[in-house]
Amino acid sequence: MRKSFAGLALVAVAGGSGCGQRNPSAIVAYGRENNSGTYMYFKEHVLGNSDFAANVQTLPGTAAVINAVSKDPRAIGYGGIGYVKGVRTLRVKKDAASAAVEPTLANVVTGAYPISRYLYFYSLGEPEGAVRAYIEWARSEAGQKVCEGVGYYPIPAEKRVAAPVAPPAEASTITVKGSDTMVILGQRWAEEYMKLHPGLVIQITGGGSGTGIKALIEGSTHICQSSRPINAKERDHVKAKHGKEAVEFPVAMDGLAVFVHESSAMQEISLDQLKGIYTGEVKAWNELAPASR
Amino acid sequence: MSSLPPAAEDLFLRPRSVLLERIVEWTIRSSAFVVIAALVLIFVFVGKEALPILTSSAVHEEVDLVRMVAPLESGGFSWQPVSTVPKYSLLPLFLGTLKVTLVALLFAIPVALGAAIFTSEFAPQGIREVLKPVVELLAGIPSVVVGFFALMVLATWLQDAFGLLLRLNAITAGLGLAVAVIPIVYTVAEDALTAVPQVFRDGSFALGANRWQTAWRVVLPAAMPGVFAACVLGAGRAFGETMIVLMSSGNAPTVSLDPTESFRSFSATIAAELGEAVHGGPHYHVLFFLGAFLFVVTFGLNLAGHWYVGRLRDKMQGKSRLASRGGGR
Repeated sequence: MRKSFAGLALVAVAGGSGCGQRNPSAIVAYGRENNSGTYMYFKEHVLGNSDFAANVQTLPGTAAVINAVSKDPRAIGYGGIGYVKGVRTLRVKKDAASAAVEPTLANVVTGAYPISRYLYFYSLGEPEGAVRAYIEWARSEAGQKVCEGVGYYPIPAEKRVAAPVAPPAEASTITVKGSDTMVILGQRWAEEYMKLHPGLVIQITGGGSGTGIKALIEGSTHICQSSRPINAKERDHVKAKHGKEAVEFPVAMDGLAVFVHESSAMQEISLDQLKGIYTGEVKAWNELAPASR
Repeated sequence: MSSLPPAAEDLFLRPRSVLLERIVEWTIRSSAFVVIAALVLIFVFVGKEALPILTSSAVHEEVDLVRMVAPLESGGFSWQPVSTVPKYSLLPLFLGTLKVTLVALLFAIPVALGAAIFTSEFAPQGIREVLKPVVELLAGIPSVVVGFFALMVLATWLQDAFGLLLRLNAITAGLGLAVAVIPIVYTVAEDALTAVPQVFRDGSFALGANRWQTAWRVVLPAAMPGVFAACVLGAGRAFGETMIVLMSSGNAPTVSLDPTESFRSFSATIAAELGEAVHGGPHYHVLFFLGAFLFVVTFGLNLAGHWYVGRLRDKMQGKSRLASRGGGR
């Protein structure tokens, strides 16, 4: 019995290795796990809520996606701009006729770059004490400077807090959980703030925006970091369980970068082409319009 | 005290040691029960959370058993739990898990059995004493480390060597998984081979067989139930392993048995999605249903494995047990 099963697998291996080599121009698409805010954002804003193709490879974390793309000449991936390193970022066109836009600070803040979004903090009810102080500081001039340092973009001046309150004197711990896209940013904020106020301990964990929102609903975190707005269902859950609203604070902006291997000839891509690739309609690089290659 | 004869020493210590022994005995006994209770409670919990798939009408609005198994209305089989119309076909996950388990066993069984035969039949005493613990040490490598190695190093090697389109596929993950499976198969198979009584070998040598013939035609067949059990236990481990697969499979829910394609396994799906699933929602219950299924399959495989090991033991000791039974009567 063992023999026949080994034989079967051998046939599969032999047949398979042929399959893998068939199209040298094939696109290898990488994306994020479906517990991520980035996944939801991309699905809503680029795919128009269509399903991802089954063969899109999903990896836990933007860093993992970038790492995979950096090693794969046929790959394409997307993720928060703060992580991009060792891959080529593409200029993005809203549609075939519009100009291709570089994901830069100016373009993201003005909204010219078509796939940019706010990143949020959520708290259970109006925050108080140290939590309030930390959130206000993150949204202040000083906090927003940290954003730029790690490759995210600051929120527009009118949304910032001019004079953040100081935290209470006694020592306390703030827990922050959520978006993987925001982990680096969150950690930098926490480091800076803990330097300013040595009595405070701020703990940052990732897990995905959905995980963070779930923790907020369960009341197991002070602040939820999320790369997507909380949805109506989740709002209801918070209210039902705690009798308080989930209060939203935009804390940074993020462009969703689209990137390919450094050796790739691609320079720009339109949202339609992206949708084609990630829904599986476009399977090879040479199916894309030559102008963009 | 040591100058007393053993019987007197016993007598001297009795009152205190009886009490102490009782306490120790009860502690040990209750800790054994705690382990069994934990197992049962886990199963009850998983089963309870999975049950609404079969019974709850609220869940049935979105998903039921038939829709998880039969082709979708939109055609084909698809795992898209986060979608405007969530789709929960089990087929892609089942094929993925099956595919990686087969590939892992294909790599692991020959290596582990070869090593086991070498250790028990051919290796000089000195090498044997080093080899066995070292192979067993492999089991101590955290699976996240193996997964990371597969993701970062193995994937690139394999892609370069075979010109594969996808870095993360069932071969990469299967090889990583083999690292976790080999120690299990090796240990159990080696024990089974060693348990074959020396008289079998002596008889074979006396008839003029050489060491290879003896190992292949006498010892291995005699130890077959144990060797088979080793393979079954290895399959159980491969089926349920999560971290290695999560990191090196690409997690793409494709419907394919092609080992060069990415896949998504049951265990990795649970690990990746349970954090996000709304507590008590259909997606949440589906994931627990997968968990219950995994539990039943791995439990079944382990049970079968241990049953075979038990049968081997009976076979090897059959004679002596009969003799002692006869003597008792």
